[in-house]
Amino acid sequence: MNEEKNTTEYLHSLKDISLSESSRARIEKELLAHAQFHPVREGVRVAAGSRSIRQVQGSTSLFGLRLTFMPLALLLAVFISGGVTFAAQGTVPGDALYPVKTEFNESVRSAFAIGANAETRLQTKLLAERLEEAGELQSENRLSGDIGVNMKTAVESQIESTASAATDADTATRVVATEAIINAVTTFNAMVENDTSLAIAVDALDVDTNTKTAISTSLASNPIDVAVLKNSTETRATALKNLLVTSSAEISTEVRTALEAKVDTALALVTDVSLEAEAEARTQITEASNLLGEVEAALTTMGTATIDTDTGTIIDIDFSTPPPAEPNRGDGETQNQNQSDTTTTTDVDVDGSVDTDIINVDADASLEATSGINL
Amino acid sequence: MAYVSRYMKQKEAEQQFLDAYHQFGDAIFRFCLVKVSNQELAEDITQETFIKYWQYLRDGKEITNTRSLLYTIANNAAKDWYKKKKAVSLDDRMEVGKEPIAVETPAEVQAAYNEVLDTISELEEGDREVLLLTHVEGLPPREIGEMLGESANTISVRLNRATKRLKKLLYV
Repeated sequence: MNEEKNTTEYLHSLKDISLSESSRARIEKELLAHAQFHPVREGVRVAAGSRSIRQVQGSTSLFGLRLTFMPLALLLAVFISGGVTFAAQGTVPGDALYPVKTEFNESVRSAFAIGANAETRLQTKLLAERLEEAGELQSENRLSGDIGVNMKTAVESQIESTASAATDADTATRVVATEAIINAVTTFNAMVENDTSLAIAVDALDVDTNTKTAISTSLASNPIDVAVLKNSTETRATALKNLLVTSSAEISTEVRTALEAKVDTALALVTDVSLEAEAEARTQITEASNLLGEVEAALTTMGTATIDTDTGTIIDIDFSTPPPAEPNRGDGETQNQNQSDTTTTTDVDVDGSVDTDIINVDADASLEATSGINL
Repeated sequence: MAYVSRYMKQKEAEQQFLDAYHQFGDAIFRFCLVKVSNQELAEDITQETFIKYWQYLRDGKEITNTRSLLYTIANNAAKDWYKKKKAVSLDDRMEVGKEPIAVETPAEVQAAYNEVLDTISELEEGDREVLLLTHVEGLPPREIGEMLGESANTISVRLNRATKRLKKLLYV
């Protein structure tokens, strides 16, 4: 017998010794936790899949510039060519240029949005863009893991920016922004419903209490939050009241007084709404909304209405061009019957941009539909 | 942007870290077990070895051979343990004595492992490690020398003597 060979074979049995499954898993978990608690230091370059890593002195650089000069370098890139920033525009989380889009391109856009309303509208648009990105990732089955977490963070951050900008905006803009936020939370959470860890938690959002309440209520029940309804109805009533005041020359005093009385009643009802008693509040708002619907119905029989496409509010009436159909104008008594649809083309939006939408206004119902508000 | 870049580096480093653990975890555990003859302790030193390896990754130190580096770290960690062991009381030392391995392993296999481990435990630590690294892990004397801070020649001589001593234990 070859003793030498047997000696080495004797040792071979040790080859099968390995960590037990439980120990292997436990150690792996602890190692990963350690790695996450002690992350890589700045300026370390890791060569994935390689057995070799090297440290880069200074830090990651662009054109040899230190990290602190990165914004300057990016600005330079814009001057040299808009290529990078343009290329970044179509990116989603996980793409190399996505940070350029969110941290640079959008900062530039924000710098050109002068005033609280413009800034809020921009942030609302950016929120819609975040949702589009999430939708794109979802359609590619990439809305999970680290990319999913990044996307969620991006949406949350954009919600916070939108809510923050909206606090200084006027009521109409704020309502639109709030609706967009509610829509963002609902839509995103619906996209990630298979992975609850990615769902946006309302409590974790750094937004004001009203917005938080609005989102929570909206998530709890499908109808739009009562606070949002209250705001939008108030906006609608105020707009109508202003319109009546400025139209004193065109509308007979008798009719105008009757219409103003309805608006005042609606305004009183909606101002009086207590958000704590939700059911009662909704009834009250519905009542106010019906009154406003009557006024709007009456007004749209007097001329061509200009409607803010964002809020669905009548912002102007051109009395010189009466609507094609609907002869019985201005008796102030056109109650809740479906008036013939008035086609309104138009119009100048609150931010001065010209909308070319053609809206069919169904006298008392479709205004709500255009604003996306369902009672 | 810096944040995202750093985040990606962290993810890459974590992946490299786990890959190394999956690839070399068992070998390092065997090495530690042969050196300290106690399963629980060998697991602890294995974990400590990889934690020190992470330190290299996070600092971005140049690593040309992950396996060699891991054995070197494990060897030093085991040496540290021996130093500490000298300081502990007799009672503690008895508690940290030889222990059977892997409770999840079938009894007969476990018995075979323990017999071999028991036999080689009578050899010097230097003999045990060189026998394991050569005959179990299949490493050449040059690489073993690099890991343990010795010349390839020294390792070859030590291996020759260790094999003879083991043979003597088995066949006398």
